[in-house]
Amino acid sequence: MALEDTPRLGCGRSIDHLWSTLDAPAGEHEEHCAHCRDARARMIQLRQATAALKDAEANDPAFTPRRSVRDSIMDIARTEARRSRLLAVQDHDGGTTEISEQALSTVVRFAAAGVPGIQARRCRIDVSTAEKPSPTMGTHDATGGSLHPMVIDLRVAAAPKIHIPHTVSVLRHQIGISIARSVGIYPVTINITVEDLYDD
Amino acid sequence: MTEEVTPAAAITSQFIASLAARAALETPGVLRLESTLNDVLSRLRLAAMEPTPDPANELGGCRRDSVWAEINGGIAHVHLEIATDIAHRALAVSDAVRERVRQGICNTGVGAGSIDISILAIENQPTQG
Amino acid sequence: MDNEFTGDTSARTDEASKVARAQDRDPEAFEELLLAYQDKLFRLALRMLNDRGQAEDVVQDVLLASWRQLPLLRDVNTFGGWIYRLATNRCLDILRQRSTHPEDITDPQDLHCAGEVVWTGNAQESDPVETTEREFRAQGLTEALRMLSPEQRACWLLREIHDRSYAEIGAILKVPTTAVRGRLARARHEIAERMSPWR
Repeated sequence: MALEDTPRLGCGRSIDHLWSTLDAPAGEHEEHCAHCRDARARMIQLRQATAALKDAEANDPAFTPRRSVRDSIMDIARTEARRSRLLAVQDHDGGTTEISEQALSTVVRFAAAGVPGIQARRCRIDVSTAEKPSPTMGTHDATGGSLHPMVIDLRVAAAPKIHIPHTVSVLRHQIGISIARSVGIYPVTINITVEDLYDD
Repeated sequence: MTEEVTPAAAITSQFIASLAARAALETPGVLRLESTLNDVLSRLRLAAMEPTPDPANELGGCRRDSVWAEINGGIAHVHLEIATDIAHRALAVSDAVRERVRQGICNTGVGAGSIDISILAIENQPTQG
Repeated sequence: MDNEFTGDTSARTDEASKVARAQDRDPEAFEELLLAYQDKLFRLALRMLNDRGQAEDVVQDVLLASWRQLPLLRDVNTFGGWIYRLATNRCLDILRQRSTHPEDITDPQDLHCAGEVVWTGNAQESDPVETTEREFRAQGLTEALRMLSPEQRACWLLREIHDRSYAEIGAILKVPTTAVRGRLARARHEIAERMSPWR
């Protein structure tokens, strides 16, 4: 396609080449060629104007959307998130209780945020409704309801210098405590996968 | 309890929904009733986005925000969607809400059926001021 | 992971963690991504469309679409290029619709507002001649930009203002990298030519 051909000046020099050598001193051809001299001067001006435009845009509140744009998006995102996956955690004569996975992840992430050297990534939580709830789970349901076993799979990024086994053990402990305190369930399994490093 | 025992047509599903909403909001550890996506969209008046149909309307029950109630054969069934305070045990809060709602329903003379509770968010209570 | 320890690992991994959490439907992580990109996308859309209202619509539509489609994104490190692609294509769609229903919907107020930044940012400069020259150049650039075809304008903005790579721009505009270079060179040439009367 002709449009995609390398665009050239009247003297045959490619504009791309000229642009990439703006910082280098003009060569012999460029010094004597009117096409190149002219184009070079214009391109230097363009480069300055581009930098000024970029800088001005980035620092001017006029180039920012209204706050209501962010609020609308987040209202919808939060509402959708809360309903994205509901886990039936408790059967009861008087009715069932389900908790959104997102609400449970909030508790998990809250616990993980308190452990230095760890960044929580994907978190998947499941309850097993197929199995009979185990009486040894340590759950205590004062109203006689039955609680389903909960399994937490958390993927994390770790800072390079931490001692992984110790940190993961602390993390697992903190998650267990937080879920017990804020939900009222002792998760039976907390699987933690360290999948990446990050710079602290 | 049957409909005959209940004062005729005196109790509507709407009344039960209001009663359940109030009982839930008065329970310590409940931060709020959750908004449905339809509520959010209509609040934002996003004409371009089509709200999903509300199944409660098709079932003939009553939905107020995220409380759904239905009276069937003199028995009231309720479904609540709530957010709880991270400082409270969510399941204990859920049990307390269920008990309050059940008590409230019984006081109307209607029988209390299933009271299902969905905990959609567990959050820090926003600090005042 | 072969390039894990090259470049701005920290920033990228940090963003990757947020993307992964947002894929898990964590709204707080998504909000951090939104904060990182909403202004950039708005600036791109405003330059593409010259209409604040439409630019805000693009930002809203694109970010909401990204929230909903995020679980399908395979590589968490490609979020930036992906969201720029959604935004650029949305702008190009709008411009195509405009060209089939030609009406000048550019609000002079918007242009004034968008252009204003160019001429007000130099209050501290002492030399009035230099300031005036610079303002003329900026005005020339803004106007020359509007004369480009939508695809060329997108190409120039993505590279020169938003620092996207040739490969990303190629993927966004569905053209090979060589074509991106060609379009960019042509765009620079055309802008420079049109700006020259202001010299």
